[in-house]
This record gives sequence, structure tokens and C-alpha cells, in this order.
Amino acid sequence: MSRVVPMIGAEFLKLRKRRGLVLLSLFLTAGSVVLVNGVLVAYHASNATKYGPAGGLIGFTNSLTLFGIVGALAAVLIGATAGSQDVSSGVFRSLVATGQSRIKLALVRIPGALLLLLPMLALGYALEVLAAFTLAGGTPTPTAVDVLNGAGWLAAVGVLDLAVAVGLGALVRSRGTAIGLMIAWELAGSRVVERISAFGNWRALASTAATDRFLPRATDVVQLTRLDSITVTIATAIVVVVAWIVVATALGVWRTATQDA
Amino acid sequence: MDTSLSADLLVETHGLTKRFGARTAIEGVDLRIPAGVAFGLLGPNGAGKTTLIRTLLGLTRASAGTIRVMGCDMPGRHAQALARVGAVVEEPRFHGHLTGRENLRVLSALLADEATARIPGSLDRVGLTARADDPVSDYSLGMKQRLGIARCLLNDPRLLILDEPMNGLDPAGIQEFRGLLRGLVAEGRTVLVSSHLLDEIERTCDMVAIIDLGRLVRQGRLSELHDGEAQQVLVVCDDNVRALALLSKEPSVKTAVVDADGVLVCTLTGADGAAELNRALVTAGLAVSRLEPARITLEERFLDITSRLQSAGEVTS
Repeated sequence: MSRVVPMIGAEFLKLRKRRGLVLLSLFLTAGSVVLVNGVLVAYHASNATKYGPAGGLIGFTNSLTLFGIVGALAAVLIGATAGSQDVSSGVFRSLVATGQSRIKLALVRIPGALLLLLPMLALGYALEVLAAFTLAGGTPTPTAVDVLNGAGWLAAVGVLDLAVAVGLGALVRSRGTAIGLMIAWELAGSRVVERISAFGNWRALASTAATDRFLPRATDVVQLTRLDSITVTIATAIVVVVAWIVVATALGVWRTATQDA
Repeated sequence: MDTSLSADLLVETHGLTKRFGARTAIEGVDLRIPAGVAFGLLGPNGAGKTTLIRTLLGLTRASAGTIRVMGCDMPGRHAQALARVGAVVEEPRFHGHLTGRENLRVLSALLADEATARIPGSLDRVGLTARADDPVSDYSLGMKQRLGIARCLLNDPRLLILDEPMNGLDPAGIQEFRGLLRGLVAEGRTVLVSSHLLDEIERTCDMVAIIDLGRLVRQGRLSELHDGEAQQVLVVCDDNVRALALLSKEPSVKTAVVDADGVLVCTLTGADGAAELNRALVTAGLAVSRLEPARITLEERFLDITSRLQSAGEVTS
């Protein structure tokens, strides 16, 4: 039975009809960009000497980092919901009783969730880029490479966090628990691991250390969070990101395939 | 094994056992469900009915024994086995934020292409067309039960497995459901219904299996359940005292008592014997105005079987 495309469509339907989830995710992605730039414009208008323009290269890189955090949060919310909603709603047994492969049931959750997340991230990022150019106020603007680099970094963060959240949601079978664990790891756990020097280069295995490697070079201008003490090559970062996705997905698939329905 | 019989069986298990840790939920179940019948799975709460159904559907793995559904071994060929099976296990559950129609779309995505085209017909069949576009969170339990049936119909099932489908239904809903179920059987489908409502099973089903303490204690046609068992006869005559004394000595009479209505209730040792009883009374000069076999209900039969099993369990444990 090859039903992958309709099954992905069904996953997307289940997510996009959750009004609260969609509105919150939209706020975190597109809404937060509008809000942050609105505040920066107001500051600049009130005191142009003290506060620089909202856009330009510096505004772009500042907002981009914030956007990465809230975009990751949206990815976690959507991913954890996608991973756990069949079990928590009690529908999982009806799906299994169709005879459909449990592995396929687990795997289609990721593309279904990406169909919801990626357009939101794209919208937010488009607004971000638009603000960088229209609100530059005569300051340098990002290059095309910066823009592409930022898009790649955002996609890496979004896909990684979403896939891990889907796997974790399926593993713990609880949306709230998965979201809590993910936020704790993203905001605290991974950052703490990055700063324990005793771990040496093993710190590159922390998911945020790997994704930070994809931060646009422009962010060096404002000296963002990248830690010079960790040497993460692009190749290592790619391997770490892929490994996180594969391991989390495998755990989610294993749980879905073996649990009693 | 009789292969011709096996070919007509939609469900066949041998020695099916399911354990949860140290607890045995079902043990050594040999279930045989032929095609084209309404088959009742009867048992008290906690007897193992739902575990048996979940095991049949591959929702949980069997600890021992074999399962064949629609002629396919489970769980090895579960996709083929379940392709024409519809099931509602325990209470019907849905995504509450989706409408009834959208819930059916979600499930049809897992089935063959034709399943989506069957959604309007399935909703119509269970009388939910008018409410199909309301969120399921607004549905009553009865409506969810009906939506569960509609979901079962999406793959044009040959076998429907319905676990306690009448739970939460009002009398009108039960009557409506009974008609729906018999309609499905009339179309040549096989319906397995589990219930602890004996009266409903007796009214709805052609065959029944009784399960208790995880073991299948009896299965067959409803009429067969009564075969070979002691029969009760109700007697009304002009002198109950003399009749009671006389019948107490009759070898074909196991017990004889006078009930609160003054009717003599005789339990015979075998299935026959009513005529012999009548002859004895008349020969003794008693005027018999009424003598009729008392129908032992499924409930009495069920209680008789399960209490015997429990007594045996108490003795052995």
C-alpha cells in the first residue's frame, strides 16, 4: 500500500485545523518579526542618535538570532503535537487497525508538520529581509549570501527542532512533556553542555553548537553567541544535525512500532 | 484440521494467549467465526473481551498461539488481513478539533483510493450527514458511536469488529443500532460484537462465544448453547402438595419447587422428559391445567456457565 502522499496530507490537515497552534506559531514566526521591528522603529524614531535603524545588516543579524529562537519554539510546538496527537487523542488504535504500516504512520508526521512550519518560517523570514532593506536608514544592508546563509540556518534550526520534537513527542506520548523537555534542552541543557570545557570538542555534539555553525557570517559583526572555544567544522555540524534528526526519529518510530495501541 | 471449514472462517485462533507481565488476560482461546453471521462475544467486565479483540487486530502482540484473520496469518500478513476489516475498539475516539467528515478523511488517507469516495455514503448510512461538518467535540456519545461505524465502512469491510458498541446509547439508539447491525449482516458482512449486555446479544446475534476469566468457555449458535442442558418445566395442577411429593420421586426430575405464584417449577435431569412428567401426574389422578417448558434465557445460561467456571477457579486456586 503506497499511501504516503495522502497520509502526509492527513497529517497536515490534523495540524492546520488546530486553530490555537496555528495562531501561536504564526505569532512566533511572522508576528514576532513585525513586533520586534515595530519596537525598533519606535526606538529609532524617538532617539535616532542612541538607537540605530531597525533594518540594515546589524538589525538583520540581531533580529535573525531572535527569530531563530522563536522559530525553533514554533517548530517544537508543531513537532511535539504531530508526534503525540494520535496517541493522546486515542485515534492511534484506529489507524493501526487499518493494517497500515506503523513505521509509515510515524514517518509521515515529519513532512506533514514541515508543510505547516516551513511556510510560516518563510513568511517570517521574508518580512525579516524586507525590514532589513526598507528600514536600513542608509546603513549597510545584508548581501545576497547573507540572506541565503540566514535562510539555510533558519531551515536547519527549524527542521532539526521539528524532527526532534516529533520523535520525542512519539516517544513520551505527551505533547506537554515533549515541549517541556525540548525547551529545557534548547534554552538550558544544550547551552550548558557547550560551556563545560571539560567536554572538549565533544561539545560539538550539542545540537545548538552544531546549528550555530550555520549562523550567517554577518553575525560576527555583532559578536553573537558562537563560542570560539568550540571548533565545529561545517561537515561536523551537518553530521551532528543529521544524527540528531535520525536518532530522534528512530526513537519515535521504534515507540510507534512497538507500543500497544 | 478440516480445511473446508477453515476456508469459511473469517477469524480463527488456536491457543491464543496474552499475558501482561504476570497477569494472564486471555488463555488458550480457540475462536472460530464463520462468514456472514452476527457473532456475539459475551463476557462480564474484565473477562478478556477487549484484550481478545485488540490481539485479533494486532493492536497488541499475542504471547502465544496463532491468529488467522480473513485467511491471513497475523501479525505476519496484517496488512492483507485487515484490508477489509473495520473496527471500533473500546469507546470510539476521534480528533475532537476536526469535523466528523475530516476525521473520516484522515482515516481514508490510509486506505485504498475508493475509501474517500465512500465518505458521504458512510455518513448517510449512519444518519450523520447533517452533522458531518460539526466538530466531533460537539458530538454526543451516540453520535460518536455512529461515526465509529461510518469509519468502519470506509474500506467496504467483510468483517466488522465492534467492541461494546451499545455502551452509552439510549433505548432508541440501541434499537436503531440493532437494525443497522442486522442490515450489515443481511448484506453478507460478518459482524463481531462484544458486549456484556446479554439481552442485546441474544436479540442481535446468530452465534455467540462466552468468555470468562480469560478463557473461552463456550461458542456456537445460540440454540446450541441450550442443547443437552437441563430443561425447566412449569406445571399448574389442582394439588401442588401431592404433585410435589410425587415429582420428587421421579428419576427424570432433578428439583421441584413451588414458586411465589403457585406454579410448580421442575428442573429435569435431561433435555427431554416433559411428556413423562405429564403422564406421571395424570396417572396419579391429578388434573394438570398447564404444562410448558420454561425458556432458559441466555442470561441464566451465561450465569450458569460463568459461575461454574468461577467455582472451578476458586477450587483450583
